[in-house]
Amino acid sequence: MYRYDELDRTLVRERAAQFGAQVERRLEGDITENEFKPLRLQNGLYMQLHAYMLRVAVPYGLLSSVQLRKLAHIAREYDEGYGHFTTRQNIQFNWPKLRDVPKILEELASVEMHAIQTSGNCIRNITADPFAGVARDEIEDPRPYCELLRQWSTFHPELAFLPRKLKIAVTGARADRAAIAVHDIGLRLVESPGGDVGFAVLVGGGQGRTPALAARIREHLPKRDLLSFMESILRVYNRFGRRDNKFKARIKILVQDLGPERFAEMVEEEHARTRDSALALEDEDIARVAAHFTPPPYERLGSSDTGFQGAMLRSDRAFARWVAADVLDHRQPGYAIVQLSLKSADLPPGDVTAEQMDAVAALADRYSFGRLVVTHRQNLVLTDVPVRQLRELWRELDEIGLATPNVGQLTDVVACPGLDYCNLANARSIDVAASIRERVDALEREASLGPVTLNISGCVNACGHHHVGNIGVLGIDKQGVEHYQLMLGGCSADDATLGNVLGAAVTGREIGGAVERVLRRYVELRAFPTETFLDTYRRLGPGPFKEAVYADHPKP
Amino acid sequence: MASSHVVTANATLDGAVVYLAPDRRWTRRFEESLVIEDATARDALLAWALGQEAHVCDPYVIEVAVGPEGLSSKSTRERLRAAGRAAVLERLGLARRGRASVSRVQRPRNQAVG
Repeated sequence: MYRYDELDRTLVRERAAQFGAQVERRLEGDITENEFKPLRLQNGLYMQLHAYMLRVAVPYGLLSSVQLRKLAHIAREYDEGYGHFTTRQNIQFNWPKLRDVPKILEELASVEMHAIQTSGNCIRNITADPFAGVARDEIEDPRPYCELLRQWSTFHPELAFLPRKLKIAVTGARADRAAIAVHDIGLRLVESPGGDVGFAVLVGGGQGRTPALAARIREHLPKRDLLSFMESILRVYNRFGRRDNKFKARIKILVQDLGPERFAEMVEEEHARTRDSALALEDEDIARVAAHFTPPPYERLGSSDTGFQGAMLRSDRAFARWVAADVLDHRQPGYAIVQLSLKSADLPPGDVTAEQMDAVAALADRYSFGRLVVTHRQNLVLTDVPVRQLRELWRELDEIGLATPNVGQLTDVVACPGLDYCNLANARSIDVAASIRERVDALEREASLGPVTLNISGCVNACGHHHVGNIGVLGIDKQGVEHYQLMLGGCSADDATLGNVLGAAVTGREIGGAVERVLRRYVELRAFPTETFLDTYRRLGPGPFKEAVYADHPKP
Repeated sequence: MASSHVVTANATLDGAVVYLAPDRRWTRRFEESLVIEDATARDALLAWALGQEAHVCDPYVIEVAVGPEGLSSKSTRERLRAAGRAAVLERLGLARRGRASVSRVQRPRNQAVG
């Protein structure tokens, strides 16, 4: 993984010291909250309902065991003993005291981490395929490009005050696992018919109050032009993006207003001026960064190492269930990708205790070269586990509550913190996730629902990505009472679609039953046992599901 | 009927929810809040609170009701704020004592199934 050089180290340390002085001035009363707010936000520090919240960047979701131990230490010493992994592959601490935040930033800097640009109208944490570097369907590892983009965009003076925040996702695989169509800018490594690898560039996707799928503005951008083209996009956005209305300031609105073709033309015009600037990426620039992402020293494992599916799986159904749900094929023979579900019934989605973090760090050291990845579905991944050690690892994960065999299934719920924490939320997400889970757990076991994604957001800002859940739940406020709107048919993969509102919102007490009725109708209507919920919905449309939710349960 | 109000904010030190009490001090206990019936007094107290920025952040006014059960907030958001940090942690299973049982001595669940 990328290791800081002296410049990086100096930069994050100086930033922590600078923020320490700003906090002192705030606590002394020398600066007002209005003056302090932009300073704290630039360091990832928000004010939530009950406390401050610190959002720590995990660039493209990649963590070392050393970093995870530090996060555990921070959770234990400065917070309430847990952290929350987010849909931007970051981690949030929900209860830090203001005076402690500079110390936390120093602790983070000591393990090459920071909270810079995790808030504000700048380029936020760049997300990537969680299986980058190990996926079988990968054309090229996207992480060196994520790192180049991170270095380019960090403290870039032109990008410090964009009209609004800007989110980038990158994938290097044939299957999109990074949700590039619902990002402000989505980048996909593609191969030309001649074999050249470059980027397909998508712009103007996003969720929030105006959800949109991104438009493709370049089919095949040479790698050399990556930074200059990105800078051109950002210049057009900076110059023409709206600053008069916060709700119309995201780049998607500009792309829609101009039309994708005109927007692309303007970017190309700008790019004609920047293409041969210092931003041009030469092969050695790419190689310098790519050298940080070389494969770990894999053992050469024989075919017998992959034969574990035999007697072991037949004799142990629980282990077999976990393997089927949480373990994926690796491109290196004899190795597997292991997903750690953070969706047990014991903790809110995405939450991990300090004890669990320490335990996972030890497991990463023992089984996966000391590395792990945070996913945008709020789970963790041990990317390089020898297949012959899977059973041992499973037992250890089960001991710490991280072997729930449900990744990609309905109970693998993605949820924002909602009204339990968030100042912007209209309704609680975590309780709703728990109540839906309670209603559908038995159904999941008896009917084998197969892959189906459930995403819950506590407000229109859509941090729970409800627009792209096969089943999406949006919390709204109706005269001071929490209500929930059901959306169906969303998907963030290659065939990305935005979900459609099914009908009138229901109360928190009713939403679990409504989701259960949708799923029972799906089980009745699926054409064959393995037809997915999404395919069934796309085949039949909302009609039968609407009837299931509302026909016998009319709203008063 | 005239509305009753309370002035609330978050403490600068740790972000905790605070309420303006009758003696112009900030309290973390909702039930100790100063209940304001008069619009002029409400506006004056909010203006005073806005000048307290060293101690509190972003003060604002919320509508409350006073009934036989005592003081209550009218919105879900404010009811959750008034319930406080401990209530959130307890309800979500994140209170430190409760959580230790999850991470340290929890019975392995999947292994029992097979």
